[in-house]
Amino acid sequence: MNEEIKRGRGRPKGSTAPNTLDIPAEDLVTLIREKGITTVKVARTWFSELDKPVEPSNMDEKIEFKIS
Amino acid sequence: MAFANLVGQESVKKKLNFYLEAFSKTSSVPFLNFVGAKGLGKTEFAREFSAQLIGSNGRKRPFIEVNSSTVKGVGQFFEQIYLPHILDKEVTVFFDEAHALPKDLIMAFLTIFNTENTSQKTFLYKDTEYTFDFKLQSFLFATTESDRIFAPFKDRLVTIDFDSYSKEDLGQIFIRNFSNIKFDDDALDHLSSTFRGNARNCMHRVKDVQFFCETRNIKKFTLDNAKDLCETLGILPQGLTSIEWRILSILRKEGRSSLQSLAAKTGLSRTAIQRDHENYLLSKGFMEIEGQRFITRKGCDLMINNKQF
Repeated sequence: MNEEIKRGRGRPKGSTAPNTLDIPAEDLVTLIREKGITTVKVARTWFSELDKPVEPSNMDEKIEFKIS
Repeated sequence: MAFANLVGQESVKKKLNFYLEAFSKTSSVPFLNFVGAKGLGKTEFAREFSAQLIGSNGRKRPFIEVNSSTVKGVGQFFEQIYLPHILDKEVTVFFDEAHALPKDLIMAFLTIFNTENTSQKTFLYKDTEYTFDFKLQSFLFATTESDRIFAPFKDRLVTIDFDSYSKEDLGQIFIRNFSNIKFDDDALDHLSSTFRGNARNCMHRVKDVQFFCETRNIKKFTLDNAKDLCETLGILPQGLTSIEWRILSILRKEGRSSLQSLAAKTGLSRTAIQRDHENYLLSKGFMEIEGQRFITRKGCDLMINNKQF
């Protein structure tokens, strides 16, 4: 058992593998298209650094509807 | 004949039956926009209309009733409604309180519903194509505030106007809910006058009367019972609210009054008086506006005949 105390935020306690991977952007886009993924969760800071305005996301808000 | 179990709204029934007949030949219906005040049966008629849209499997198409105020954008709509429930499916989608739909979705609908002579439309959003097939999918809208719907979008829709229910219609709706209680005509008339032309109010009163009859073991409901019920629950003549009654009292006492003066005396904002309280008094002919507000003869008679309030 790993007795090392977790320090603050970030990598989980005991984790040794890095949190991120390097993938060619082109491969990622192909994969996203193939899988039919319509939204991707990205880090807000990373996104802002692309010079894109960060808009508050409403994708997580649930639409109320019922089917009968 | 469809809608036989729904009371009133004869012109609505005629129009909807016409579109149902067209549907049986063409498998498509126009984009309908049900317009009318609260409690006039828009949602009920939309459900009944949808129940008549039979899919290729011989069964009623699923009916998706969306609360428009919870739709926040195009992406969210495609993600949560279109992909799981609309794409390649036979379905009827009903947007209740459609004036609350977000602008970007309205703009998307403006393109999507521009069908001209084709029954299919493909919409491109963020590099993805979304195809709508209007032989499979029908779209209905309902609103109490049609003026808040973007005009070019409104032009894409066929408006179905809902009228206020007559006292007789409401009486019929009311009486259907009682199989073991007899109502005197004048008792029914007295109760119907308090429904404000609104089926939802009528259904609320059904519950009140059911409680009243059960607790007092009543099998025959008389005018005295109706008056007793109204007094117990504080139901004012003609179903007026206490604020409306107060406005009439002020006008009767003051003669004429400005909107500002009414606002000061009632403690309400000018907008609240105009938007929420004056309309019913004006529609019933109890007050009029000619520069200033004043009570009519009919309004005075109402107050004189109901001094106890």
